[in-house]
Amino acid sequence: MKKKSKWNKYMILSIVSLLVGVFLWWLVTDGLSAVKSNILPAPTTVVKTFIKKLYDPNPEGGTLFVHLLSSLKVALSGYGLGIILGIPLGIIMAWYSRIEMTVRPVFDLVRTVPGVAWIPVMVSLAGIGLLSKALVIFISAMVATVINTYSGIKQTKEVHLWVGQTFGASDWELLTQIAIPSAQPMILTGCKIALGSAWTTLVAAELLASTKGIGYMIQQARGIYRMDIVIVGMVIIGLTGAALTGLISLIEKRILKGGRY
Amino acid sequence: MKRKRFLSILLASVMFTMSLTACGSGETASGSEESGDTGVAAEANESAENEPVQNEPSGKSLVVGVQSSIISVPTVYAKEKGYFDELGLDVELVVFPNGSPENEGLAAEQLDIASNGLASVFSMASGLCAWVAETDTIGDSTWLYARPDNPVFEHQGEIAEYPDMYGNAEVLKGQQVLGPTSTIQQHMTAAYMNRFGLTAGTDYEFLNMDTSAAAQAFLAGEGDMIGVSVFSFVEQMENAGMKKVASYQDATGGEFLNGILARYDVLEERRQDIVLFLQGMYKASEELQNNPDVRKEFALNFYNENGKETSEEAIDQEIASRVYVTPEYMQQDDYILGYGLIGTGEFFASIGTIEESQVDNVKNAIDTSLIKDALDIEVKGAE
Repeated sequence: MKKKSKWNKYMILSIVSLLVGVFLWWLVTDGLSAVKSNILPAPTTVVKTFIKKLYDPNPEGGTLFVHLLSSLKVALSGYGLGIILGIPLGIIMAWYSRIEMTVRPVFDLVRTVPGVAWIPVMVSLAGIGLLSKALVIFISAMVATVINTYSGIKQTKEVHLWVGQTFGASDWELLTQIAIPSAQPMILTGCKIALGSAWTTLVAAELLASTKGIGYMIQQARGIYRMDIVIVGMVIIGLTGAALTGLISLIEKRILKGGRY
Repeated sequence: MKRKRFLSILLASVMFTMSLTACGSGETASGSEESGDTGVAAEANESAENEPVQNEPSGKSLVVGVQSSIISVPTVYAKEKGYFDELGLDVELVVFPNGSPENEGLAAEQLDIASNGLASVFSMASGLCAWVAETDTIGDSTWLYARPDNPVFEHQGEIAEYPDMYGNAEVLKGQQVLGPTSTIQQHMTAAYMNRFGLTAGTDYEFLNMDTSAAAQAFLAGEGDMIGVSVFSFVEQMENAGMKKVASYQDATGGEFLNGILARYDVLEERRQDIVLFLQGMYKASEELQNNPDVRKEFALNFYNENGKETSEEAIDQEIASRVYVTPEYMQQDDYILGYGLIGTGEFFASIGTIEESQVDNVKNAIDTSLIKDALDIEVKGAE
């Protein structure tokens, strides 16, 4: 009961802080006209534009739903590929030192290259369709997943492994019954971080060659000097990212046992 | 207690914001009215300082946005030759890759004026800037290209007024055109497709890519068509065996001239600086237009030093086709300042890129008075 009322209080605090932020935004724009509307549109303008974009494809050729669907397709393709390959790679790198020694130098080289820098290479390798954009996002997502999965496996308590060994567990059993379960919180944290990386790389990937998508919408709006649409795009990216992160948290609560959430 | 703390934090945030606003208002007020102090002496100084003195610079640096293209060559040439210094004008040049970030620079008041192309229409539509001069014609540099095996070449002259133009609604449906958005290439593509009743997103796709990346991708087999607007890319396409589908002029039915955008507030406060700038720029334009060898050498160096690799052949084509606007050019009977921009604004309003109401902003932004003050010639302005 006490926990629930504390959580409710924090929830109210979060909502109030958001409202204060919006109020301050309104204050500097419509309220006190401290910032020109063509530099920072007022929240009321952004809301009107948001509502209009739900049904009006102008000026850049698609409604919000169309752009969001296109972005989700690109982002989730790259993200999905990133975690499907990243989690096993992180596990085997952490568990088998020979594999770690083999893969690590290349991985350390790749992980420091920002996603945007991969764009010209991906155009040459994979063309200008969905694949090249998904690959740019895949690299960003995979790096975060590998690092966290690797750390999770490495942080498996030795005493747990000793107990397993004492009871005659094989190497495979130690990995699957002890190391991986104990690394789950880190793996899921890696999935959350990878999602953030995927979203931030999305806008850059959609600058590559696109006709739809939130990144494309922002780029088009920038070109025709519609800052209200740019901010709508930013809000959508934020809200969608938050929703997807919330989804992962929900999955995390279901899968993980004994964690404090 | 906790509520009091929360209210205190809220109040402090509001006060902090208001203090920032007060500073901003103070600067704005002093910039535009110089009325921080009251009193007869201050008012006299204020009116004296605000009174524009003919052909006397304000003393402040004029920050000019330029691009590494033909649009800005006269400006950069004038700067290097010291023509602005001779007039007592301090000019600071800031290089941009294209017109969109220049618009942002103008809106953020980091630029006073900018040499810009088609993207100018968006600054004008938003009521930010006036169109005060023109610099060069686009000539024969802007084309829609396709691969020779594109079925579009099986249909020529379907639009009677433009017999050289290829295309047909059926074959164009589903095609993918590469090029940067909010540029003359996108305008040309949209206008071309519009002639056949086709809409972007529904009937065809315009893939947003920087021209260099678009050219690379197109030559690698991606996309169906590409829009190009400089001779170096025209040369690339020709050398690769690509064929011209339509020119900008055929697609849009008009001509386009690049030019100079000036912020309204700078026009109001420092008009004389812009007048002096135009004097220096047009001196350079005349010199470049009348001396092709000088133009060739300067342009070649300027483009290559600023990331736009260009061959001598491309420059030769540019010189043959693209004319610098000079006082003599402007005194032709059919010259109208801003004609291309009005047409562009009306077109973008018709396809929903800008609001219909914003077309009036574009029309009202054409200002011929600075040409008059700078060069003492009367030019017609588009309406």
